[in-house]
Amino acid sequence: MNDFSAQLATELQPASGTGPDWLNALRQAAAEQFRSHGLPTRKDEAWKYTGLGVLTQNEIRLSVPADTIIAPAASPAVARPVVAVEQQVTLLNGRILNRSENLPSGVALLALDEALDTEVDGLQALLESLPSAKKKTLSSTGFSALNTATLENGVVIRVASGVDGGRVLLSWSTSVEKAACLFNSRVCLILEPGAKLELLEQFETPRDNKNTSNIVVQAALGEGAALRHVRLQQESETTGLITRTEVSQQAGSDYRYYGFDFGGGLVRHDLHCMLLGSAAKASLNGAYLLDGNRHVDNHARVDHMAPDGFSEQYFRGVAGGSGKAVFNTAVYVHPGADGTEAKQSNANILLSKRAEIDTKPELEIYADEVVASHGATVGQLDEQAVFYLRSRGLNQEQARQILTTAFCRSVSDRLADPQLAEAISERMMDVMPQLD
Amino acid sequence: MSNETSTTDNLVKQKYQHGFVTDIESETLPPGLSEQVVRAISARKNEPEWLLEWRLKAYAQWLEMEQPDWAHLNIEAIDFQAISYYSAPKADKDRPQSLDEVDPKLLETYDKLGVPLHERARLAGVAVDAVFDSVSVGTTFKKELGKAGVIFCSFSEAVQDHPELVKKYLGTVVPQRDNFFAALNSAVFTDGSFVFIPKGVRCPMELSTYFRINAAETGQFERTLIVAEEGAYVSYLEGCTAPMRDENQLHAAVVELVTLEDASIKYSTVQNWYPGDENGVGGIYNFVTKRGDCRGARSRISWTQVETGSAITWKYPSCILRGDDSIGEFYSVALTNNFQQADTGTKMIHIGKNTRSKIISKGISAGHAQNAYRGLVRMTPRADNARNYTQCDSMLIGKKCGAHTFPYIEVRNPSAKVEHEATTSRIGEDQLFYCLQRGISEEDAVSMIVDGFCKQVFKELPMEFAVEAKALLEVSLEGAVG
Amino acid sequence: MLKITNLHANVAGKEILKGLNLEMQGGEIHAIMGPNGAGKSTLGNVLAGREGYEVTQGEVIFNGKNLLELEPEERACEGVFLAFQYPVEIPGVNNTYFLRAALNAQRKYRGEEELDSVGFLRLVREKLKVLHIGDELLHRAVNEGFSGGEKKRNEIFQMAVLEPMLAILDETDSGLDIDALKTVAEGVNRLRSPDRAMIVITHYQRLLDFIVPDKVHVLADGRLVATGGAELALKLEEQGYAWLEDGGIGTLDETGATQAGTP
Repeated sequence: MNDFSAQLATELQPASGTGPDWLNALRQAAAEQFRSHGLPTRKDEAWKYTGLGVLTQNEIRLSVPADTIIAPAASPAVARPVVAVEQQVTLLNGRILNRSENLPSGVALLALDEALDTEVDGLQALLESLPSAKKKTLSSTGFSALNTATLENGVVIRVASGVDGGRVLLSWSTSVEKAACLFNSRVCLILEPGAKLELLEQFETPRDNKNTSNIVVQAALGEGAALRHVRLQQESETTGLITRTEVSQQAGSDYRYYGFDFGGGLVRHDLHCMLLGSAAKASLNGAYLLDGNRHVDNHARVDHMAPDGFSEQYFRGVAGGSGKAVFNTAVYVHPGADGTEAKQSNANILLSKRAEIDTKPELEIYADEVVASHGATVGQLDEQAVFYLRSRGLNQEQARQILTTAFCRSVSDRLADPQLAEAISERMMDVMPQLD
Repeated sequence: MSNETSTTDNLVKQKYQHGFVTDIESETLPPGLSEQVVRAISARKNEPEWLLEWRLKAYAQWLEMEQPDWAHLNIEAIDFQAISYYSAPKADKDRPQSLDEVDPKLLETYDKLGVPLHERARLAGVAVDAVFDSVSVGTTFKKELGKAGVIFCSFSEAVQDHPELVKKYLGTVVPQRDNFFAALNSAVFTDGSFVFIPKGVRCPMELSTYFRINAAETGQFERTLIVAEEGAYVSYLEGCTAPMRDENQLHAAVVELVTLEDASIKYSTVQNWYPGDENGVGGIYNFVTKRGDCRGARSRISWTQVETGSAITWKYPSCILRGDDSIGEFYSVALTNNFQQADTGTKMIHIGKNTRSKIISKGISAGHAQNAYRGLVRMTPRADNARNYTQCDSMLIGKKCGAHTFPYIEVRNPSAKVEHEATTSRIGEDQLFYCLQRGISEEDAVSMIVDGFCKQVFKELPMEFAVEAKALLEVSLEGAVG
Repeated sequence: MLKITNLHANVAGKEILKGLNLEMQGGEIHAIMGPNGAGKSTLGNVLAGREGYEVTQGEVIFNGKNLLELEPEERACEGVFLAFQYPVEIPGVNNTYFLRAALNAQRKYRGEEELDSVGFLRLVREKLKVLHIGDELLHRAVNEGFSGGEKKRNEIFQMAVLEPMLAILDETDSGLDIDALKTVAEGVNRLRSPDRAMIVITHYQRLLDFIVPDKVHVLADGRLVATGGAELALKLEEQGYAWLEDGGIGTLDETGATQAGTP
């Protein structure tokens, strides 16, 4: 273990005392795990292209010095919602700052501690299901162990069978100014059979913010449940954001992810779907646009564990300036998952000599009767198309702008809600990297 | 194959055809690896001091390294002290000087293998350097090649006769500490081939080497070095076989290729090391480092491999595209059956401007086998307008095997372009039925479909090799359908 | 309006145009015919300024300006329009959006006011009506998933909206069945005007049944080897291009009658 991890390990105080015994056992075990493994390094295959640079430079701390915290009332404005929403939860430093009360019947939205007190059905099983560091396949386990060890803050949403929970916005930000802290938080989504929910997550931090957020989202989709998960992320060049999304899917469930990453100092997202029941469907879509010194590392993985599943991964990336985009997608078809169909598509445009794109689309297949394919490209805009536009009177720059936007819009256009698609595409226009 | 006996059982029991043991006396070092062993190998080969130093440096580095575990392979721990690092067929005092002096039994072995050594070699127009366990046993056509200025000899001879060339190029493509197995090879390599094509010469014939591991509990650590000077061209063929043995045998070779300006090397391999039996017992552990350095502008290195053997294959023939406008190619068929495991692919490192690379990989997996493609395409900041195209297809036959794809794409130049495509499929029932309905047996249909699947690679092989590769594939596939 | 003098151009290091001369006045339609590989499409691409088409000699004066000095988009803004032989598919870019961006770029260049979306839509609907084209193509991405006929119609539609001074139709008839050909030709005829010149590049005479040219040129081996009226096209149709190889244009009229009988 390196010095940085060792320092964090000595600081680590499991959040004990609150909550039931099983939870304390879980926290203790995770703390042990962290103390023996620490945070990942570039020697770990899953972190080959991403170092912890910003975190170590900022000398991230686990405990928040008492005198530096800014009272919630004085905190800078949180992210402006990308679209108007009925239900909104604002989280600051991993804790709920405020939340709307008008919930449809059949939807419970609670702070994690409240949910533990009221013993929400299925919560214990969900919290205990987060895979441990022992499995070589999981890549953010050092951070996850830290998250579990300090498990205290977060949100629990439960949607009753057959209920449409509508759209819920989680707006994340951090506020500590003089110090650089690591904030942990947990989101648990429990969708009973046939339930529906749209989770919209927005992450935004102001300039010079040096914090790191470490957030785990766990979603359990019952039979035929449907979760639409939209994520929009824009950190400052000094901020870290480590997130992990774990989705377990029963038969016939449908998970759709739409991620829009504009990067940050260190942005890492591990997105993992386990198709446990037959004919489950996972559609993972994302665009990443990077400029300046921004970084983003997306790891998406789908485990097909039952027959007749479908998964697709559709990601588009643009890197300019000194931006660095890492993209790793994996499909794992387990024995017995016959009839699986899996598609992966990843295309990237590199705009600058200082920018870098590393992509690794993996397939691991242990069943036959499988149709799997992937395509990955890194290159430039189609020169034929650029000429076509120029021959119609648009200049070089306009032509490139239009084509790059179209390239990224191919992701936002996959959103069913045209209003949301438009709003997100406007945000993309705002941050579009330029050719240099 | 008669209709009556073509039951699945019979097919499964299809024997490895090259699995005979040659009964000749050989002079073998006792098992174990130490500085003394390295010195002993060097002394036995009467090597100059600098080469001994070079080996000892590699050995020291190897001691500090760990066996890599990143490949998609399940390997039992290798006991490096249980292996003998030198085994030479014993024939009087000296090694054979010409084919006439070679132990007749050895020649018989090559006969069984189908190595075109004597007249057959002449007819086929192939110059053969055969490496048997650890030493080279004779090279044909030396005179004719000599006229053209081509040097084609065993590595040991090259050390004696052309030390300046060996010294100039050895380890410049694969340095001693490149990886665990390359370091091991650098310390204990025993023989191999050396090829030198001088400036402007197009090698008048295809050069060929056959490797064979014979003695029990030996490892084979051959080293091949091919240098093509400005404007030179050579096509080099390599064939590998080993007898059936219960224990696993280690093969850790290093191949280095160097092309200067406008030079071109075409390197073809048909690897048919013993794969182990149908229960996964025995077989060769094949850990090979093959790398070509396109040092000069407009030079070209092309790797073609057909891999049907070995219990474990760990092999990534690579190209460093240093010269502007240089070209790297990799064409591969890897077939695994029973309990075979393969983790193979290539690396294309683009450094020069306008460099181009092409990767065509076909993986076929049957039985309980695991077959992984692992490839790296790297576009460095200097590699303006570099291009790569990769196509990587897997085919699964049966429910218990695995097919995996791990491509790494690293791009740091905005004018570079990388395209990667991969598919995984099985033999379609409709395809099979169509063949059956036309009266073709299931086995024939499968091999026909697989052959079609691999065509893109086979057409890159020299004619005789393509025929051999196709036949090998059929043999290896037998028992896969049922 | 257009004067091409001694134009030489290379593609991938090979000389394709070898001294081409052509002069056109506003309102004229010139057809350029010739065998495959004669350099017909090269001419269109050179005039539009496509990369990879290297002019080694000669000049092109368009309305008093040296066209070869201009960027592709400047040529477009000056009024040069190329209807592509293979219109490019641009996934994700809406046809309407694309065309409005192009039109406004051209208007801006000419110092005219840019059109807002309402004004633009009015214009577009008007043009669609004139060309008898349905508006479903407005909602699709540029050429994406279009049939061959739809692509060519989209080119003509763009031409109608952009109102160029010089339109170059590069094998607009290729790959079209007779009905699609008629539709496209009808569109072109509607866009004929006294101040618009058109170059119709084609391999076959049949397009010229519907678009009657003022002049027909034969392009062979990088040069215009014959010029005549619409009747020249009919002769070419009868005799094919083979005569070009055995003796050139001089032989056309004398041996026409005898050659017509041979296959």
